[in-house]
Amino acid sequence: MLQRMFQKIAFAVVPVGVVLFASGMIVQAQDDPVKAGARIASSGFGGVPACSSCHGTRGQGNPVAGFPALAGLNATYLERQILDMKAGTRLLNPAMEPVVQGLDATQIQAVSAYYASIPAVAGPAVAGGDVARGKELVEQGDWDRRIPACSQCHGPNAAGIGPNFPRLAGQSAMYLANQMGAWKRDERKNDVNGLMSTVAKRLTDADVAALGAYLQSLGEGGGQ
Amino acid sequence: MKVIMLVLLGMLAGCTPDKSAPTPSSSASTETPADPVAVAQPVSGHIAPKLSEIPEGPFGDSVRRGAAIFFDTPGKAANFVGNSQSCSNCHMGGGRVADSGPMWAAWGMYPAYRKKNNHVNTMEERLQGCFTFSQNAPASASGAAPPKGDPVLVDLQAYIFWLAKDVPIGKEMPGRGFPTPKKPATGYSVERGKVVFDAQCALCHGAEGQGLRTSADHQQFPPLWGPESYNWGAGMHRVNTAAGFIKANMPLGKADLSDQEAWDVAAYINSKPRPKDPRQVGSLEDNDQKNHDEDCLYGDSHEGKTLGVGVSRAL
Repeated sequence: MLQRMFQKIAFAVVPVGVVLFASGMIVQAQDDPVKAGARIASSGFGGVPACSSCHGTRGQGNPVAGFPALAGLNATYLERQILDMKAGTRLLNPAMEPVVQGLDATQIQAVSAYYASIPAVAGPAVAGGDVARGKELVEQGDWDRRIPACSQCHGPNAAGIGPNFPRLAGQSAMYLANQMGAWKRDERKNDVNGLMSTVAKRLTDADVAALGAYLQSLGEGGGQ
Repeated sequence: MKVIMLVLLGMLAGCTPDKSAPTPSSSASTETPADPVAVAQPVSGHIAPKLSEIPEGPFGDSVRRGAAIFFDTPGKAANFVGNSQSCSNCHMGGGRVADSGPMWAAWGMYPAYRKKNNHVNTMEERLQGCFTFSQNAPASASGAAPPKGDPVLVDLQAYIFWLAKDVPIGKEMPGRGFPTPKKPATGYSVERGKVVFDAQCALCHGAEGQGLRTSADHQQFPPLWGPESYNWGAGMHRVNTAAGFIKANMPLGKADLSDQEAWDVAAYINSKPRPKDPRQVGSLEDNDQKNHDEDCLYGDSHEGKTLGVGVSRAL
């Protein structure tokens, strides 16, 4: 009786072990996308330079040059931006040309997954921007000019909501200003339903400077 | 297969159109400006003070608490809210935006007679009405709106009074309420409304109108139907009211739907299940006769079901 039970258990265990072993092999063969993305980010791939050479070793971007922070951005959002650059529906800095040409869809997905997995960091303080006004725009908007609060779509402290409303906290003020200009001039059009370009057109240069000063200073959780 | 278009459904059965509905606001803001700069101009006769201008001291503290309740009602007035709706979901910009039910335009118009309950209402009672219907207080911890004199109502009134600084008493201000867009000659269609909803609204409010909750204490986008939405007695369940709100305010920051799209999507949203009308004591039919002589779908038959039965939160 006992022996028969033992045989049954052994018989049941063997196939499970085989399946586990096999699935382990598959994972190893395909590699973890975050790890694959991390390798591209730090070392590049073929003729593609390392992302970190412009976007920083921690994905913090280069605020002075206006290269965007990527750390903590939603993976789907990031992937779509690169694919849009590849498809020509989002303008790109010439430095991004070899990146979008040299990476395939799987690699773009991997790089996006990597940057989404690492924590965002606060940028350096911006000289001259009206931080208090920026905070007011982020949290309350300026409804007398039909400007909703950034947080109404981008979430509390502009930490990002899903694939359509990217994280703004910690983002380079110069990058943000450049993008606002692109939305205003209809040079960037890959927002869903034209939501961002509509609001961007209502922002003055002073609003944009204030927003940049406040948003660049926000850290991981969106707090200062 | 027969496709039944619910055009003019409101006239077919159940609710009948409200012939006493107020005429649309005459403010110029209902026109769509071609120049985006024009949009950026103030659209009403009143610019409410900013939150940063709330004075110090006990009165200012009450205003601040009122503002906090207004923006996060389920969190700050939890005992009296039975769904996931905040005042600011319908009264944009914390009740300061013209054509979005601005609170400063309401303050000086109360006490007022209301057909809804057939007597003169103070502002305090009017606010109780918002809790009972829009915030579905019957499903809240206390089971009812805040009682008269409750600090929640005191603080909300302090906030509203403060927003209305310098607004004349008894004067109908431009931008009050929601301007009703012209009802299309061919009526509205729930089916067309679904197309508008899927393309323009689902992005934030979810494919099933469920909204988006990002944490236990943060509702990013409000639910538009289901147990966490306004109930069958709320003003927003009327197609004309919802069409007006949507036309003036949605999609957020853009507000560029046509009159037809606004009516259609308002009908679609208000053909969906939501908590029952708290005024229903007898049958749904009786309540339809008594309380729904207006442009709504309450009591109508839709997709084989009678609208207005009501859905509850899972316990």
